Formats: sequence, C-alpha cells, structure tokens
Amino acid sequence: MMLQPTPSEERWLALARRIRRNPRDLPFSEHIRGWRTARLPSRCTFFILGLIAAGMIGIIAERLGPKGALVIAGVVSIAVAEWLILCRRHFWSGIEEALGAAGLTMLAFECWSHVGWSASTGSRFICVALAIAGLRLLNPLFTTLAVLILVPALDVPPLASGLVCYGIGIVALIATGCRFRRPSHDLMLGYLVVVMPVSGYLWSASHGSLAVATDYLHATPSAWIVPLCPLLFAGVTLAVGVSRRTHAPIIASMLCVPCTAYELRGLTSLALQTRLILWGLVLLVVSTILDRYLREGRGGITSRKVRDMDDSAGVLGVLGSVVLTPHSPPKAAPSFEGGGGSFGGGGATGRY
Amino acid sequence: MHSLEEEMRELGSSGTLDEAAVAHALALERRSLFSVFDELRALLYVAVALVITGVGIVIKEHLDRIGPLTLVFTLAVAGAACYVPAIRAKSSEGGPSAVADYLLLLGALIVSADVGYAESQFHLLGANWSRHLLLLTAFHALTAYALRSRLVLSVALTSLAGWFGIERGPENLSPWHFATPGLGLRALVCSAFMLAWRTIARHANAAEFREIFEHFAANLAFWGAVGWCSDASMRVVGIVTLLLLAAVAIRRALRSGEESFAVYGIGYTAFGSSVVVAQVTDLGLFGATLVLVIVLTAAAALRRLHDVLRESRI
Repeated sequence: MMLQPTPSEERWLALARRIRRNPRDLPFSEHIRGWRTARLPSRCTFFILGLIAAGMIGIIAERLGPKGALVIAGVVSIAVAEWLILCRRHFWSGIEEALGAAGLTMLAFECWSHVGWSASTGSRFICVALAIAGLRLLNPLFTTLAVLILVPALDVPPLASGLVCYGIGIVALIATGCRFRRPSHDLMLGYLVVVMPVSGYLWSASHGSLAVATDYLHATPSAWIVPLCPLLFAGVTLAVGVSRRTHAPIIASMLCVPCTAYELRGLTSLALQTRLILWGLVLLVVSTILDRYLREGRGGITSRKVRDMDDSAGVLGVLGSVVLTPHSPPKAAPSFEGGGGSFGGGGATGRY
Repeated sequence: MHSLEEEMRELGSSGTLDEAAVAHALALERRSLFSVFDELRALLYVAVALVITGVGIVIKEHLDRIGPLTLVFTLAVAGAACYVPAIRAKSSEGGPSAVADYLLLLGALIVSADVGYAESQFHLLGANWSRHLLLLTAFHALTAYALRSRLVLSVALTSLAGWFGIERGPENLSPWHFATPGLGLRALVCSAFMLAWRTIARHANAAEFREIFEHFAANLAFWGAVGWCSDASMRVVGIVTLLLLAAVAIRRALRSGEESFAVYGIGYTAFGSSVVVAQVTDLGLFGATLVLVIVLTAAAALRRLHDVLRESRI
C-alpha cells in the first residue's frame, strides 16, 4: 500500500497536468498507477466541500455529546482523508487535503485547550499540524502556512520575527537552486520564496504601525532596515530569478518592491491619488518597455505566451476587470430612490 | 528546481508528442525558452488598478479644485489616448499585445468613470440617470467587438449588470444580499439577457466571447437562485430554480467539455441546499448530518463528472 505517489509517479502526474493530458491515458497511466488528481477549478471546489464536511463532522460529534468531541471529529476527518488516499488513490484532489488538514488542526486545537490558551503554544500546535498535513499531502499551501505560523510561535520581537522571515526566504531561495525529484518540493520552496519576504516586511513594519507612515527623513539609520530589507530582497530575487529562469523569485521581487514603496510613502508630500496614478503610469511604462524588448526573445527570455493558457487563468483576467469596473456614478440623482427599483435599470443604487 | 526532461523524451520516443512539440517542451524544461508573459500581465493589471483607483479618488475628492468640465474633458482625452495602441495593433499584422489590451481596459474604465461622473454632475439623463450604464454597455460592447477584447467585453457586461441593479462589492458578495425576491429576479433576468445577446450576436462572437457570456450568465443566475434559497419566503422557488440551473449547467459541461460549468452546477447547488438546511434546522444533529450528506453527494457527483469530462476531452 503506497502512502503517497512515488517521486516518479508524482513527476508523471505533474507532466500530465503541465501538457494537459489525461493521466488515465497511455503512457501516463503506466507510470501514474491509478493515482487520481483534479484540475484547479475542481480541486478548489473539492477543497471547500472538504472543509464544510470536516466542519459538519465536528458539529455532529459535538451534538452527540461525548467528551473530546473535537478529537473524535479530527480522527474521523483524518481517517476519511487517509481512506481517500490509500484506497481511492486520490492525491491533489482537494477533498482529502481539506479533510486531512482540518482533522489535524482539530487535534491541535484539542491539545491547545489541554495545555492552556497561550498564543505561542497554540501557534506551535497549529504549526506542527499544518506541517504534518503539508508533508503528508505534499501541499505547498499547508507547509507555507506552517512556516508563517512558526514565526509567532518563536515569541520574539516583531523586528526579529521579520528578520527570521527574510532568513527563511533566503534559505528557501538558495535551496531552490538544488535539483529535486519531486515537483512538489520545488513548489513548497517556491511558495516560501514568494511569501516570506512579504511576511518579513509586515512583521518588521508592524514594529511601528502599518497604517501610519514613518518619517524616514528624521529616523535613525537603524529604522531604514524596514524599507531596505524588501528592496534588497527584491534585487537578489530578481537577479536569481532571471539567471535561473524560475518564476517564484521574479514574483517575490515583484511583491517586495511595492513593500518598499509603501513603507517610504511618507518621503514625499504627494497626495495618495497622485502617488497611485504615478506608480500606475511607471508600471505601465516599465511593462510596455519590457514587453517590447522581450517580444523577440532575448537570451531565451520572451514576453510572449509559450504555453496554452489554462481556462482558470483566462477567467481570472476577466474577474479582475469586473472588480475594477465602476458600475454606478458617484452620486445618485436626488429624485431617485435606489435599491428597490423595478426591471429596466431602476435597481441601480448609485453607490460608488 | 526540477526538470521533467527525461519524461518528455519518453513521450517523444513513444510517439505521444510529435517532434516539434517535444522540442518546444524540452526547451521549456531546460529553460532555454522562458516566458514572463504572466508576470507582465500581472504588472499591467496592477498598473491599471492603481491608475483607476487614483482616478476614482480624484473624482471623489477634488471636484471643487479642478472643476467638473475640466475633469470630464481631461478624463475623456486620457481615456481616448488609451484606445490608440489597441487600434494601431488591430491594423498591424501581429494582433493586439497584452500591453495594448490592458491599455484598452484602462481606457474603458476611465471612460466609464468619466461618463458616471458627468452624469452625476450634469444630470444629463435626469431621473433616468441609470441609463448611462446602458449607454456604457453599448459603447464598451462595440469597442470589444471591434477590437476583439475579452477584458472590455467583461466591462460591458458588468455595466449591464449595474443597469439591472446588480452591484458587486465586498458587502454584496453574500447570497443574503440577493435574498430579496426582486434582486434575485433581476439577476436571473440579467443572466437571460446575456444569453440572448450571445445567441443574437453568435456570428460576431469569437469562441472566447461566448465563454465570457456564459460564465457571466451562469454566475449571475446561480447567485440569484442561491439568494432566493436564503430567503424564507422564496426557499422552494430557490431550490427548484437551483436544480434547473444545475441541470442546464451540467448539460453544458458535458457538451462542451468545460469543467467550470460542472463546478458551478454542483457547487452552487450544494451551497444553496446547505443554506436552506442550515436555516431550517439551525444545524442541529439532523441538520449537520443532512449537510454532510449533501456535501459528500456533491463531491461524489463532481468527481464522477470530472472523470467523464476528462475522458471525453481527449
């Protein structure tokens, strides 16, 4: 009985997904040996269904009234997840991931309640639960969450927590240079490279207050560590991403630059809207230059699409434009009573 | 790092992929070909979001200082300028680039903001002020068809939904917002209108346009029905509508092979039914068991559909 796909099986699963082939067809089926996965839209839906199912198991156990209902619910959830993996050979299907992680988290909560409700102890239990779930299910989301929760579990000052995050990010960045047999291990490190510097910035910036702009013109040199760390990280990750040609470091650098820009927002007396428009225009110009420069490919790097786009990526783009679209004017006409109109446009409320 | 080079070679030698496909895939695995297409698109989206948010704040807070006419004119010029790259790209051989497409989106959003602002300032349409959303729908639809832009078509459809009184926003994303019978009905009528539009303009629609119409229509209709499910007086109608919509969506998924519609059909129905059970039973032992049964049945049905679609896709 296999506990999880072997590295070879996982590689073939990843390959089938990458070139959008059915894993049940030859030659994939020979290598994958019955493991079943789901594509992203279904995986997300299965995950949500799994979370609801775990929640309902918890409620049923609680309503039945035995002592330690959370332990029973946790064990049942884990048992169902393991049955799905071992007997039905589900992997990366969403539902077994949700049930497994939820079950382990319930057990962590039960342990937490036994030793007393201290925040750092709770963080340690949940961190261990998510780490076990992540490694068992080869899920980068859970391992990343485990590392994120590990930081408060260390119980150190915010600035030190921030530096720990950057440190973990750097270690992950170095580790992504190694060759891995399992694509999931690569993905776990990639997630850490992307998330940890942002977490590091949030921790170090929360030392003061995120909402209030720091006056860096009159700040001590040591205060500059907060905006300079993400900038430094952005430079390093961009260089590494371009030289290794991997996406995670490039995405990390794209996230670190806004962190620095946000932290240094108090340096100019420009109004928020002016800064937003200026940054937007700068980004537009940079993207346009990059797009044109790389259109024909420079050293193998191109701005053109080289793979068939997944359906979900297209839907995300459309969803993004829906989010930005203004759908009613700033103020309603005084004579109009919004909210309860009838068919034919009278329903628009005029809220902006 | 990992590379699936050896597996790719095996696919080539077994004849699963042709030589050109193997060569392309190997170049990607060896990273001798590396695309930053997605990163650039993300940058462009953020750029558009920043500019349009800034413009929104300018409109909201600086009316007195700039003056309405100057603001309307400036926004119109800025919006028009954003259309130029897409128009130029259309006449060139290469087709529109991602930059031109996102600039076009920015132009469309600025035009929407400008027209909305002009209407709120000058009351050009009087009591029928919401018709400016219909005008915007027509304008964006024309632009989308002329310049073949999915992003602008989605702006047009969002304006249309706005005209029907369906607003999107963090506070409106819950089905409880749709719980009023009127709003649920408007969502369904808007959805039917979009499908009728898709059918009428089917010759002009590229395949990807049809997809957008269908995704918009499906989500609106399902959200309206789920909203009804959360309203005590409309529960039965909501459940029946949800089941009918699910049947249509699953049929669509089986015909087209598009998994998203199966996800809509199963996901929304499970959600709506669970909402009804939770409200009626207060999630007691029986209610929780029933929701668990609904969820497990939904998962099994979706798994089955997923497998069927995967087999039929190849």
